[in-house]
Amino acid sequence: MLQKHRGKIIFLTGLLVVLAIGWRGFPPLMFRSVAQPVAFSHKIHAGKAGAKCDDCHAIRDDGTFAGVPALDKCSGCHAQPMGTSAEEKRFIDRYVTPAREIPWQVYARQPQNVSFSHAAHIKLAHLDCRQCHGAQGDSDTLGPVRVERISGYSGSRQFQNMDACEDCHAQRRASNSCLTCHK
Amino acid sequence: MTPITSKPARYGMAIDLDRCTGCGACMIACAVENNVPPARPEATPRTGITWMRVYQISNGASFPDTRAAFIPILCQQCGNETPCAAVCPQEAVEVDPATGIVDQMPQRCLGCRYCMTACPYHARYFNWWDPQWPAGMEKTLNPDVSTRMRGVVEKCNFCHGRLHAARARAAAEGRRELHPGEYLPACVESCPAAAIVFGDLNDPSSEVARLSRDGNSFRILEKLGTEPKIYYRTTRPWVRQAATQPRKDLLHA
Amino acid sequence: MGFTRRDLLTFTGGSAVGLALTPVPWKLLRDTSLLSENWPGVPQPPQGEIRTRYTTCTLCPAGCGVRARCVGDQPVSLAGVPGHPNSRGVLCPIGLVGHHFAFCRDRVTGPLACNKPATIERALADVSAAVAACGPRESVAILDPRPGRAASLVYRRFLAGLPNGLHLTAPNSQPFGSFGIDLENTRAILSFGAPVLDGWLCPGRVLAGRGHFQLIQVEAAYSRTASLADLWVPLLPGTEEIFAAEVIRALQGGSADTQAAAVARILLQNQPAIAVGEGPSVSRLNTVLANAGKPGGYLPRRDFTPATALAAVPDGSIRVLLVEEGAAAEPLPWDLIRRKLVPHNPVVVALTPWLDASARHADYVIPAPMYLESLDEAPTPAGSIVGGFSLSPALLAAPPGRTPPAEFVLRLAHDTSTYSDILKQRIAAIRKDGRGSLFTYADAKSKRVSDVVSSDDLWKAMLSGAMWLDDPLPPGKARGADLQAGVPLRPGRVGPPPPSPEYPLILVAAETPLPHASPLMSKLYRESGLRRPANAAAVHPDTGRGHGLADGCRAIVKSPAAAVDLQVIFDAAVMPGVIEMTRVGHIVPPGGTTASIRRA
Repeated sequence: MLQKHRGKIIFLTGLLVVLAIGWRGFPPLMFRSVAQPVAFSHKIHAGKAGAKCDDCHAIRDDGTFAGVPALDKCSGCHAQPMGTSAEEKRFIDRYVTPAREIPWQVYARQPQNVSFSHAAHIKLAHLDCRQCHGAQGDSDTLGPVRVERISGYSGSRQFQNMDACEDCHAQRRASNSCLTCHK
Repeated sequence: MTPITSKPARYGMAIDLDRCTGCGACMIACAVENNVPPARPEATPRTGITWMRVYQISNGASFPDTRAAFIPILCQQCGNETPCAAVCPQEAVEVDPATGIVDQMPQRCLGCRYCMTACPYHARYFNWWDPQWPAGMEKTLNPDVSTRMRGVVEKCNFCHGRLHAARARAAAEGRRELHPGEYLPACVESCPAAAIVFGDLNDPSSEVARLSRDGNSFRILEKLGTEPKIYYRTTRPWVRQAATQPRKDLLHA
Repeated sequence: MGFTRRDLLTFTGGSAVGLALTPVPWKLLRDTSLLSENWPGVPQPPQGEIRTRYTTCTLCPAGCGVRARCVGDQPVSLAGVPGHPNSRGVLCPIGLVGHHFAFCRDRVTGPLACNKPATIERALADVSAAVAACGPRESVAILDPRPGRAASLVYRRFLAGLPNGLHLTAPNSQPFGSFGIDLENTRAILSFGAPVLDGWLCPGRVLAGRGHFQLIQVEAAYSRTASLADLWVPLLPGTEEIFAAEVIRALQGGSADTQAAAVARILLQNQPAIAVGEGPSVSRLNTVLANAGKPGGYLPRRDFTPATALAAVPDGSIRVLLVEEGAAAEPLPWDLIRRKLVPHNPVVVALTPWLDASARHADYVIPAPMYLESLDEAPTPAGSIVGGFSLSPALLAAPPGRTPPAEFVLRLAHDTSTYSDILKQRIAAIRKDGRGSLFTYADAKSKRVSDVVSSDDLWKAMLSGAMWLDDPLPPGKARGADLQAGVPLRPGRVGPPPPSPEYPLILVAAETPLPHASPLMSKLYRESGLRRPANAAAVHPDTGRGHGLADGCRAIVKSPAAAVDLQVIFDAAVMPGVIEMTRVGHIVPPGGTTASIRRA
């Protein structure tokens, strides 16, 4: 019987092997994990240091978003070591002392043609940071950033393409017109 | 489906042809704002990219009876059966119901140029070459506008980058509505003669709505029924006639 | 049976079908097209915080206020300053791209001596030696494009210390002498060729007031101003004096030809009226219109330091000439300049950011910073009825090795001050005099200078973008002699000699092309044809065909002084018998010249 269906079996084998590689083996290959340069802990800063989200990630008066803060935000407190960890000392030596900007990796790095307004989503839609950024703000460690290998854009499950954005816009009846979010 | 954004606007312009001096400041301001690339050496008036373009027309008479006028032409933001939106095979053109602006998405465009043929106003431009700025000048590009690549069509979108920035500013103050004058395209802001008035045609109290109803105002190629949102205004009968019944021999260059 | 080729093909077939059912091809397609958004060569706009900074434009004598939208510290777009007392929130097409000038390739990168790289010390030593070696009837001159600045005072101090120093200026600067024009109250302007609506005085100020004056444009060419004027009087070049005499006769009640009578009627019915433009006819008309010292007319200012006109210098007398050139390098009359230089071994020093223009005629070239690269100043705006001053703070970092022209002269004078020190002194003098008001760009508010606590505060206010405006002269305080003399104007146009068989046409200069220091200027020229390109000759189609030309062909235009190769444009608006030329750098004598044209 094997001999009779030899062709079909080989065909199916090829099909199944490639299906397996394509669905299981390939996707992890398309992404790489990049670690953040500094082991920053949101938990410590929000807890012990008593900082609120918008102390660092503020919306400016002109509506632009400060994003990941620049070094001067950190140097404001960390000119001298605030704690006892070796990581903090390493951070001060490498970045604060030589006044070198920290090369943070952006989890949600979008193409140049995307225009996203934090002001509209936070102040008008009243979204909570966690709804898009997950438990990042409560975490003790910053996880690695999942980056698409070829295009260099965000590989995070939520920000990889516009599906999540479109769905939420449709649900809340916000405009899904192209140039609402593209520039 | 009622959108949760502010009530729909229909942005339009009223351009006073009796004030336009043909200086070209609007063309330059538009190019600076929208990262329009400078021309390659091979570029001509047919292959250049001028989202805003000022044409000079004359009354066809010879010296000393020649009279000239300047007409700024930009995308007329057609409101009825928008020709370019109707023909695009890629759905790269969309009329935004919230603003009335005809949105061009260069990222979706595949460069067939069907829309350029369809546009009765020749207000669409094709990137024949990859954009190239002199060394170091990329630093002067506007971050609110993306650059395009060769092979795609682009056109005026009423300075959408400025609309985004105005909306963000209003959002920071908790507002959905934009105040009049909060959002102005670059050409309007830069005109030295204040010849261009911009605003919401749906707002009956706005200056542009008032000017659109003025007896001296007209639209170009109105009989095509595209319902453009750019109104032109002149008290000179020959200019009105030349603009509404155009003849090629009256076009200067 | 072993694994055969057929088996391999079957396996491959199965794999291919499987591949199509996996996300692999779609993901690869998507990612590689996204990659094309970021690969090398794709221009990426800068990222950073958006800031607003203020400065003043120094590209022309208007001195418009500039509001720069910056990403971080880099200006990405320029706009006017709303409420600015002079520019009224307007910037012209050139001002809008001033932040591109620094990227233009034609810049001098280092000091040059005889076209070879040199050091600035060598240049200083050589020029000092040449100055010291001047003979008894030889002079040292500085050609100042904009007299009245603090830098001009530096030049004058240096020249005053020499036995034979001359502070010179180019023919088209200081057109109104110590007078400004009270444009806001003028009701009629009779313009002899002045580009009133296309870059005259300060465009924002003129266009803001357009609604309340009648404009009569007397010009051979149907220029932009002529097309928008209330009346265009096309005159053959050289006949302006005759026409002006007719208008004066009509103004005084005599009879005149219909056109002059019509002009006179407009002037009489719309008072106060002024005449502007080049020529003694303008001066005479203003005297008849009696508008000197009166509202709506020419009003004298307090301070005015005249520089010597080039034409007034004896031929062959300048041994050392320093030429300062700004970012919007206005063309200079090098034929005239060379006549004024000594015939043997003159020394010409160009203080300029550009590699072409003046540098081509100079023995030494000292690289100056470009517009926006270093602290500069804007003196009293052209046509202003009160004195003015603003700083033009730098928005960009200057490349190394640039020397502001005033500092070069300071070093020649063995003075170690910097240009910044000189400007601080100027501001201290303003504070000390205590006159006038300060308009700050950021909040569009004005306050009295006497309310500013110290000259340090004034300096800081000016560095963040502000304009000082003097108080007007109290009426009656103006010196009587000034008022009686009327408005001094440079020697007027002579007008071309009558056409001859050899030179049957009249050549006039039409609109000068705008500086192309920004590549975006191509929008107005090559990409649209809105403005006539450089190196073009426009003729009436009948004139063109009569001389064997075709629209778009190349032609040689020859005048008694020069011959140039230009492209022909047929334009029915051009006066028959006239050639309108646009050419960068070449000066057609005021009033025009005779010429011939033939196909190249």
